[in-house]
Amino acid sequence: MKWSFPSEGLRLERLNGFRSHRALAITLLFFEFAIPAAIAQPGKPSEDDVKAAYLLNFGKFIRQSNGQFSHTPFDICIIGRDSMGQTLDDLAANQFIDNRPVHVRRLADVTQAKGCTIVYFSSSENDRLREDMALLPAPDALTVGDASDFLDRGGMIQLLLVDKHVRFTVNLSAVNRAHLVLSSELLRVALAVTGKPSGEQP
Amino acid sequence: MFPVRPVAVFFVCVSSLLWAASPRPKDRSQELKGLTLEQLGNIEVTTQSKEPTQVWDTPAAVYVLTSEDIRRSGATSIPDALRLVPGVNVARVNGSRNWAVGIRGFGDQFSKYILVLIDGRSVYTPLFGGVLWTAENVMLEDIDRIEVIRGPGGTIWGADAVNGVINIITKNSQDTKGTLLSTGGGSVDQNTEDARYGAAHKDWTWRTNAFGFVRSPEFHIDGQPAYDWSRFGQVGFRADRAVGTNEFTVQGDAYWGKFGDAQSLSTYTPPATFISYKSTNVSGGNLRALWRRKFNDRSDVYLQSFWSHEHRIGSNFGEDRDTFDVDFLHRLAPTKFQQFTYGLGIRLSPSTVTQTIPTDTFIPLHKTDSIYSAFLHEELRLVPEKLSLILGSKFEHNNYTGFEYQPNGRLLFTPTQKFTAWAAISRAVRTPDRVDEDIQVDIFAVASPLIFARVIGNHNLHAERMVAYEGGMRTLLHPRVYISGAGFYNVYRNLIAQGSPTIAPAPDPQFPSAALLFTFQYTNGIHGNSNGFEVATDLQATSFWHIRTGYSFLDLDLKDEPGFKDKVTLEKLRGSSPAQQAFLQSRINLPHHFEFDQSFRYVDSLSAQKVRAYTTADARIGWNPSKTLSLSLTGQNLFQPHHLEFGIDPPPNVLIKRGIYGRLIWSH
Repeated sequence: MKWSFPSEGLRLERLNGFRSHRALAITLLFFEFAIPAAIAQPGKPSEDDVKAAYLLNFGKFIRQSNGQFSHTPFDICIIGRDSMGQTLDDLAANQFIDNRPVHVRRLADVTQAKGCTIVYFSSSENDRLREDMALLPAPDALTVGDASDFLDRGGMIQLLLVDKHVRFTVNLSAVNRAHLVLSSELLRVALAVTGKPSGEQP
Repeated sequence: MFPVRPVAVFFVCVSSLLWAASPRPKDRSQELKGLTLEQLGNIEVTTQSKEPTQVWDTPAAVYVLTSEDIRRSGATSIPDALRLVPGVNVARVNGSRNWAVGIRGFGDQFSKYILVLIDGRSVYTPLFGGVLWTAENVMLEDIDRIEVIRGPGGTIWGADAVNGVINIITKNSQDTKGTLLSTGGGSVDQNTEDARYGAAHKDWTWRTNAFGFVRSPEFHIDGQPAYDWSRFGQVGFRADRAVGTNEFTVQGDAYWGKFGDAQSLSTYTPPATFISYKSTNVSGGNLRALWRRKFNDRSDVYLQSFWSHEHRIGSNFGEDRDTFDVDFLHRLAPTKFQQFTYGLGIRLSPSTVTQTIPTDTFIPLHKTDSIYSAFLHEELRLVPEKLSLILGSKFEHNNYTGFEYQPNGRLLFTPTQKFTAWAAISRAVRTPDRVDEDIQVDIFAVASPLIFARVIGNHNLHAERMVAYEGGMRTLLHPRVYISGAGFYNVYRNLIAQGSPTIAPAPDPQFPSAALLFTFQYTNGIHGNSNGFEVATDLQATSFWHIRTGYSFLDLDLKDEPGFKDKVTLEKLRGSSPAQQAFLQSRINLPHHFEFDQSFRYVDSLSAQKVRAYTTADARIGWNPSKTLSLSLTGQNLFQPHHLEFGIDPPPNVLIKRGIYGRLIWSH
């Protein structure tokens, strides 16, 4: 056990601290210029904008395998924290798919997703995907998400970023289980298609 | 002593961001309307900052270190990775002894005021009221994330989470299938080997791993033995099963370690002090089982049980401890506007101290610590999606101070999708540990007149108490700029200190005749307050350049309670926490799968530890030529050949060296 009194050398410490302060300040200032330059890039669409456009587009390529046509509104449901925002609303405004009016519904809980045609799981749901899939009350909805293990967890279409482009992969087994059919036009553009192929090809 | 320069720089950065952040063009949807799937796939997009969705709606100062943050920082241990978390003070004491980790101050070798959990299993020991970081190792490739909560976590986690909670969460075995082999070596981290294999069988996924390391001593001044080497090995397994809404997890580990050590010890006859360089041995294991059943998004049940065994033997004393713990938690949503959680827990921890030298002992040698706890937590959605009020409390009964309660109240305000603000008032306690209550250490002080000093525990201690007033905000200022901040004002009472000695003739027959004994008894004697704030940013500067920064400020104002006189503990507490800290981590993805990462750290001086303020940096070059192979070269503490981070007893202080190491990871 040692008894010691505060050091007299505090003044020396302050000097050393000043030199370190300067190095840190210079580094911070450098990054401060890098950031505004980076942000002020001319308007390229964001990842979220393109994902929103995909959701609208997917709607044109899905059909029920029993040949039935639905007359209910075409609901695109977002589960969890939505980052697509205004762009999705603008794209969906006054749109019709198969003569069904397109609505966007934002849901905090997957159990509210009854009647949805497309269900999109935002990244806030990433830790709960297995449970969300088990509790989903819309067995014939197309499920879309961007978690890296979305297809493993039973999802149908996974959106992913490949070299600054938004692409998607498809799990046909999950699509079949929901008695849905995806048009070959969609499958052709997909980055990868896994699972058992469906019986029909439109 | 207000930190003018760093704060000014920060404000310049923020104002230029606000100026440069342009609002999103309204006709974005016009561009995208009418494009085919193929055309959508051909558009080049801007990448964005990942808002940490787990923490967005938490009314507390949470920071999540992802496995990518840890991998790219080049850290070789958990305390190393915690250096890049705002508000966490990390100092390496020497190669083997320990790390001094604190949150919002009070960092010392025992890390008394933070609760550390590995997968929900507490690794805080009631022996000295802290964490033995050298014995708690997790294979870094197994870590999914580390959640750090700054501020009291008493309501949910119970006593001893006074200044914060660090929860180390390992990956589910679902995510670690296949083989992984990792080998590395360098100038200080001489040898590190990790091996893991995981697979699935029917409903279960499982993995087993083994890892070990050898570390060489840090920098010792001329003529002093370099005693602080360390060797460590651990094996473990984990199995998970998820069927519908039920989840099961079973995991366990066993470890062995040997560390060089230096302890200052005394003898009665002849009256003397000497330094023992006998190495310390640690070993132990743990087993944990968890069942969770989810009813819906807002209702679930959670039952966890764990057992752990720790054995440690050093030149000053040894301890064998077992811990048995059962925790139950039930979350339900009785109405649309409410989320109610309650929990129950029992922890029993028998321990036996082994005396290895007559001058160091615990009275009694054997003790069983027990904690019985219950907690209630209610979340009221006052304005749905916008304003929530959280009220709760933990109630505990422990064998040292009896009944303790830790209530808190929090408000969460989320006016938009991109902004959150919160405020909280909480009460937290730290129960005395075995050192505070039962220790008896005799130290030879002066030869003529013959004087010994005795540090002794106190069976009548009250728990240390803290009331915290906190607030914070988080905002996604721009898709690629995320900023979070938190401020706090903490009021402390009953902090345990050594006090002034009582002087009496030393009792026969232990002591030589005509010896005087100065007895210092641990007493609740210090009070005061602390205040400060932390700011952190996460910036995706370009698609290939990611930057993470953090700054923290702390003002600690402690004094003796009236009628109590202590100089030693007070000076140590006042002068062992840095007033300011800052870090910056930059990660650049280069062509051909190369990575270039740097982290810069500034830590203010610690007057009581004789540590000068320092700035240093780590740099890492990584190359991932294929999906199975990964190589990296990391330099640590690059700005100086060696620098001091924390003091040590016995002197002299050990300095932390500049070092370099390489690592190769093969996975399939």
